[in-house]
Amino acid sequence: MSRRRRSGQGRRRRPDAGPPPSAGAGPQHGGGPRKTGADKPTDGEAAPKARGGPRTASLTAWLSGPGGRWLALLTIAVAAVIGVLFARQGLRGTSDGLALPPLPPPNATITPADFAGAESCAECHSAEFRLWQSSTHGRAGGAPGMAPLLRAFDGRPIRFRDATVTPRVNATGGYEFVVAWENRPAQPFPVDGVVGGGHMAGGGTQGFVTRAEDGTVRFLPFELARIEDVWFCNTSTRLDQGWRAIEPGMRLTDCGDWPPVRVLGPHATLATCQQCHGSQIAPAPAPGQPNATTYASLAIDCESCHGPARHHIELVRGADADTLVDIGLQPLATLAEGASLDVCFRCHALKDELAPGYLPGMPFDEYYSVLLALTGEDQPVLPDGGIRTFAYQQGHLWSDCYLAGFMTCTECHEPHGQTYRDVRGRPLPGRTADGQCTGCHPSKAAALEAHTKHPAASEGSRCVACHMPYRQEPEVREQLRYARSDHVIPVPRSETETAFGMPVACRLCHQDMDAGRAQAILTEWWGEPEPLPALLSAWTHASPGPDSTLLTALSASLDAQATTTARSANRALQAMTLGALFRESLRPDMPALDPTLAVTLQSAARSANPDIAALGLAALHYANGNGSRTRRFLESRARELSESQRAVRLRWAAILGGRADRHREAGEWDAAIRTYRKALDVREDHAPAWMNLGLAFAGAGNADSAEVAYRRAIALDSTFALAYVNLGVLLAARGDDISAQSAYLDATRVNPWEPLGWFNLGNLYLRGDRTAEAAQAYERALRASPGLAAAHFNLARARIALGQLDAAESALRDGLAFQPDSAAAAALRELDSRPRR
Amino acid sequence: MASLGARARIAAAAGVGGARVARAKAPPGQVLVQTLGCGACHADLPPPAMPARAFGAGADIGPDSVFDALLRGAFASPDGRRMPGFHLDSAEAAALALYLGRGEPARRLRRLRDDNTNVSAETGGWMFRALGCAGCHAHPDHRPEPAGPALAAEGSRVQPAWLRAYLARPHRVRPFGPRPGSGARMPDFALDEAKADSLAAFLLRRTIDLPPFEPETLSRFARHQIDTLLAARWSCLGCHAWQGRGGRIGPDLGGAAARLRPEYIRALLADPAAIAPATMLPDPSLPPRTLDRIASRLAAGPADGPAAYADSLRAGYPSLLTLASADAPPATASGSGAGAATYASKCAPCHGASGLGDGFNAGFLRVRPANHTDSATLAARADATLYDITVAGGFAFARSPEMPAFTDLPPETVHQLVAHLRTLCRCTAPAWSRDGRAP
Repeated sequence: MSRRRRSGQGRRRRPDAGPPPSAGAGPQHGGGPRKTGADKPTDGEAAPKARGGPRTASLTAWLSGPGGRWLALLTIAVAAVIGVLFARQGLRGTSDGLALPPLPPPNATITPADFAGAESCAECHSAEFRLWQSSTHGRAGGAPGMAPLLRAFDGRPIRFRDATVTPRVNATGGYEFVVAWENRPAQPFPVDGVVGGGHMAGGGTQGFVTRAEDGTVRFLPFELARIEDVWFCNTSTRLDQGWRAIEPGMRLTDCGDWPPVRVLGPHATLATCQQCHGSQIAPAPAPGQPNATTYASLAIDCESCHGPARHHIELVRGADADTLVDIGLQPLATLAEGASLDVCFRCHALKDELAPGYLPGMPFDEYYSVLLALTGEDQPVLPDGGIRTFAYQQGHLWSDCYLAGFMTCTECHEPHGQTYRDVRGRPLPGRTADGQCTGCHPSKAAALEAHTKHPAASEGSRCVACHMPYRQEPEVREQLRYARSDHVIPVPRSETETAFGMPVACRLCHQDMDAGRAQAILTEWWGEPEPLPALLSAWTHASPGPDSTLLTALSASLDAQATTTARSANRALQAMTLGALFRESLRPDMPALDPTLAVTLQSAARSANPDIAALGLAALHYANGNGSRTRRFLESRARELSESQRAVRLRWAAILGGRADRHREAGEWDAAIRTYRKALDVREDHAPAWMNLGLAFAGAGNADSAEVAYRRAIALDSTFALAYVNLGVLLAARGDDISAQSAYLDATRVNPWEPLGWFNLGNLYLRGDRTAEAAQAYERALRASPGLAAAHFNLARARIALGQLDAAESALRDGLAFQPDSAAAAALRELDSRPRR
Repeated sequence: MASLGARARIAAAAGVGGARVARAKAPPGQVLVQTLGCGACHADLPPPAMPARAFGAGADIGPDSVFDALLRGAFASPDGRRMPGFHLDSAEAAALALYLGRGEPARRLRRLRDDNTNVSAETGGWMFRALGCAGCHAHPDHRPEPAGPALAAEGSRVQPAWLRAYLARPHRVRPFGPRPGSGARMPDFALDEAKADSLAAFLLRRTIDLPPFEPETLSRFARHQIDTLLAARWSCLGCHAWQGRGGRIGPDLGGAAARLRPEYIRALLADPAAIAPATMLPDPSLPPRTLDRIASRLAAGPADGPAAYADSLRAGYPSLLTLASADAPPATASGSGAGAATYASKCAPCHGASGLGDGFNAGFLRVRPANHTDSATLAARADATLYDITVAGGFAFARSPEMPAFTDLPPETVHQLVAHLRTLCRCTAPAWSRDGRAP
């Protein structure tokens, strides 16, 4: 219990526990932290870059550009010189700090020990248990040999141009992939778990996880697509070609997940599948393995939705069980609509992590935000709710059924068996059954063909054919079918197709129909559609940045009462609009804020919705936090937050932190520093923000302030390996190699699997002519992160210096596998041209 | 309100199935049925042996005599005919007396009329119909419509102890009648226990086949969960009171446990129209498992026991005069046509006869019923939306969960109803909502 509580307070070994937040989480579309849920092979080694936050900085400092280490050394030298000039800027003492109420501690009293396991539910709830067992959740994964495989591990090889991968069952009955990559020694990867059963109608997949040396559970790049019956991998980060069937023309490193970098559960720097591909996935730090992970099951079990059951079991086994109203668990049926959605959105929506350590049963609002995930610069969804890159079922939030009818997921989905039902709970035969819609819209059933204009028995006459068509996830690209039904439940209309590019449903079945023809038919058959809600309508003709129309519409939408103008009060679109405003119109500490804008942001800040409120507060704080009236407004608004204090404050800080990351990445040091400090005003104890502030100070050349910030991060989280690394970089740049070495050693002590600790230590040794130690450090870095090209190159340099030319050559070759266009290729040629001994 | 206080005292004094004392020999139930004239109200019983006094043209009885007779309680007239009591308060009796009597009333009646705007010949006329007086008393303005429930399945429907107690003291057991919103009352013939038992025995022999149903024993948690859903999702509390909350159109659900047999509750929920053809209860259209649980819950009785239920009966039931003066007497149509008739019976109790949202039941609901004369609001709604809310209920559209889903109205009837709504709002559907053109 205590361990979980600590982690909830940010003491876990998670440098950027904070969210790579809303106002921008970096350029990734490939499934960084914000992508949750199902079936998605994601980025390879490039993923950390996507995280924003600390790793980005460290990596970009050392790896970006063709020069690798050499460029990095140059950067440090420059930084050291400029640092003197800015050293006196200092950290605190500015007048614009806010006086906010103390941030309440996380509401995180749930630990893995509170969970009892699905089997313990079966005794009393046998009907539900049996339904679940045969459901897609119940069959979502498991141990190999237990979970059914889409394809036998029969030794038939998966062939790459440069590798042969053999899925097989070994002599001891273990499932494994044996990877023979060029002439390297064959390497077995035991399959510790099977994830997915290829169940989904729009294209199901099955992936495989292995437990890595550092205790993490990692996806292997070899996955199965059920419809096409092929092995495939995600090439987004390497070839930018989405998911591709593996064929003999491909290189192993075309797969972004080679070497395995996508983990189950939380991780500071790697792409994660969060907690969605299994049950009660939780950190289980062990000596030497701070990132080790446990899980109860790879299926999605009872407690994933219902929360921990141990207390419930104790209560109902008690003598007075029949007299209790509180039995320690609540059924979905009596949850309020927001709480009910949160249960499913834990996995079926994009979400940003606000704080680490979430387990089912904890307040979702204090750990994740769904709306903030939609507001970032990567713009995963379109203003009409359509998916632009890759997302889940959060389109629900745009649907009229939700906005005007408070629809939850369980109105159509029977949650135990994942079968279908109508709003009154009567079972339906399947996913295309009209009863899902006609339970609420009996007028359509009463005159079906008059509405559908398709023969009643035909597929085209099903409600879902036009209103919930299957749409391919854009980021997957077209080669493999991976489509999900459109939970925006839109009325097909040309207006939004023209504005946002999501084809109307007609054209998904009638593939030869062009947009003009579809528009003519829609108008001819159904007349003019219901006018779009004003805010969405404003988006259809908004220029790239928010214009005054959009601002007016946003203001009206914020004022709309959910009960009277339900369609107008689309919180998701409000959040997206606020996010766009933030990006396009605001700068830190603007001299004057347009009065209309200020009023609109204040209106948002007063919202009862924590995301909208936080966006309003953060925007005002960012753009006008130096103004005394704005400060008073922010302070008084913060005092009014009662139970939502933590939920709003974490969002507020995350939005500012994300905005600051963007400034830092753009080299706008002053803006970054100002904005990080605002974020820290709101969430002072957030170690990752302190480290990022340090990076910004370092970028601005203010080494002294950077050091103070790094040390503050470390004081807040003594296990924060990346903060030690960045401190070491700073000290090394200052020429204090002894202190730098000590910082790097601290990093490797708190996390022996932090590659950048070892890598920078290697650089220090290399520079100090401690070549053998440098080579060892690089080797450790590469054990932790075999795809770290710069470490391969520097290892080659060390080995050359040691006279180990063959070993150096293989290191260079390994580096080139991951960074083929590196300038180090030149070094390889130079090496090759030397006469061998 | 004074009348309610009086009723409350009666109800409080009542105990279902009181102690039995004297037991005289009673005539057989079948004979009693004919003597009492039960068939006048209950269409499935033999007709009354003897017609009652006629009113209207040619009848020459003064209002004060009617008034006295109504307040007298059950009595036998010299010719052997029996007039039951209705436990009316003086205002109610006055209204009826003004309607039925000829000539100028005496001072007491005049004062009642002048002091109480609800006391008039007009409300008296409505009471005459609501109480089902025309079942026994011929009147030129009323057709003799049987006002009482069908009793053909009484043996399968009710609990014997309850029936005996009810026949003996109907107004103690159900002061507001079987369907409070209708105004109908079971007349009190002041039967002694022997007669009540005899009559009950006759009625209990009338049975139908119902599927067996054994109520589940529900934990407190399960009861609480179902109570929540009864209120928040299944619209039951739009018409029925339950533990002190909810509408007053149908019977208080708190009485179901003592009154009804569990298998009847279950069968009624599964197919109301088949089990009780005259019922207003729409088909709940819920899955069998859900119906099992609701039936088990109702069969378990209110959470806080029969005493609290008796208390709940005091709370705010509409008096006959309230019903008559609320501008929403059931089956009083505003406008004409089939839609108007449906509106009057299904919608007016809450939405008001003229659609203002002020039906007599409106005050018992958590959300004020929609005002159907609000043309701005209704003009923004498609006909399909009005259709959908009517048939799917308020819950499905995030409106009041107490708005029932009239799942078994035929499409034609719903279309007529929608047309009637358009006359109430004097508005048309928005232009964009036109649909249904042939491809």
